[in-house]
Amino acid sequence: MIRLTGVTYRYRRGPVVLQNFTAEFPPGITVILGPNGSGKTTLLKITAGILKPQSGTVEVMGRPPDELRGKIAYIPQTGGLYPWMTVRENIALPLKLQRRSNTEREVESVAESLGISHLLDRYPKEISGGEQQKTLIARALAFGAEVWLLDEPLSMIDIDYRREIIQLLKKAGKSMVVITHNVQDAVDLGGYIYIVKGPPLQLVATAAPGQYTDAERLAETAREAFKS
Amino acid sequence: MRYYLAALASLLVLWQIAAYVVNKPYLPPFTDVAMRAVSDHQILLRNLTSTLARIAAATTLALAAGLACGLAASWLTERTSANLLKALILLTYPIPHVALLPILLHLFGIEASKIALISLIAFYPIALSVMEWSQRYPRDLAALIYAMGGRRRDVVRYVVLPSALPGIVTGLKIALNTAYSVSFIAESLALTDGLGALIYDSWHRLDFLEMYAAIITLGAAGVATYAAMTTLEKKLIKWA
Repeated sequence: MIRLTGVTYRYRRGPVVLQNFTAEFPPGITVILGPNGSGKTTLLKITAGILKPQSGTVEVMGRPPDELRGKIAYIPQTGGLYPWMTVRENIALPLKLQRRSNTEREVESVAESLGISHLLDRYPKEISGGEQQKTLIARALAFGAEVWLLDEPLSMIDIDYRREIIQLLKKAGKSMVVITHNVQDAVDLGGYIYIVKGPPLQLVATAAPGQYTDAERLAETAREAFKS
Repeated sequence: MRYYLAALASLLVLWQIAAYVVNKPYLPPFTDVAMRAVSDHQILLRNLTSTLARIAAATTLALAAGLACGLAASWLTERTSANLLKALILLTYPIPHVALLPILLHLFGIEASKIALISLIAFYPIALSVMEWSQRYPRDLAALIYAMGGRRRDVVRYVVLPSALPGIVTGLKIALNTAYSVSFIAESLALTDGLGALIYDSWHRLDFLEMYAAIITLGAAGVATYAAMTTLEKKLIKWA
């Protein structure tokens, strides 16, 4: 369970992105659907503890994100991989940060399960967008994060990888907040759907898992919600 | 590579032509200089070894100090001491450091002052480059380190240092190049050994063949060092 209560965030010399924002995200997959620039990424960074809100509280599994370092995996839309590290080193990084030993076996086992063993000695610039996304998922799996926060995980990848990534996310069995501006992604991920607009970010509609199986219907709901 | 070889060949041909046109002892033909270099190779190698040892010691000191000061001055910016350090580096950078040689001689004696002078001059390109590059580290990747359970020192190790590596190598290349130039000044002041001393001594003895042989040896060492650094740079920064 993720709970944000009265969260306000404003970038220096920028607009107010979150104004007294309150929401609860249940365990399982939660999709936050909204247009680009509405404040979804800021919300995710605040939930991950990367940004500190000017006011309000954030609780992840009943604790502030600062106390859960190493248990939350934040997967950014782009640039989440360290360009000077190979795929192997990128996956092993959180294990090293947590001073775990025998990282090599864990890394190889996760890479094998995701079918990226052949990429382990390559640098991020040498692999495709889909392979980069898989590497980020492998990193989250390797360090056993309990909560995953994913920023547009399907936006930079081609159609072949899209279905595979969705299956991987569903199979991971973790609590996830996935943000997207794509209604088809929201439907295919199959979790709770929170429709938002902004800035400042506002929750305009919610849907239970399985309530929408047709992207067109969800898009219609979103359009209606934005009008209100 | 073939362009470098062609440029070198052109330079030597021009030298050879200029030597015949000018026809003065202070500009001997390259072929005479090459023959003298072969006959004097033991003297040249002995002095080259001394010069290289000084440059290696001085650059190592400059690298250690430049890295420490550059990182401290740029990365710990919220601290007053770091800001003072940064101001001190920027304030003393434009001073012509060669002019400090008399003071260094009094402070460190003849031999150590040569290393101190080369080190002092090589320090600035490294420190300035590290200061500049270590401020450019990707903030998002640093924040991710904390989110994954890392600490401040992990951010330095896994983000600040690797992202500053191209700058560190560039600073080191400039420092080494400067070190070769300054080695002549440092060694010609107290004529014990080294190619700088040999150039100065042969110049005053009007032994131009030996002078040119020593200059070419020093120049070749500089070019070889630069080429080695470029190879090292490619190996270290494969990801760029």
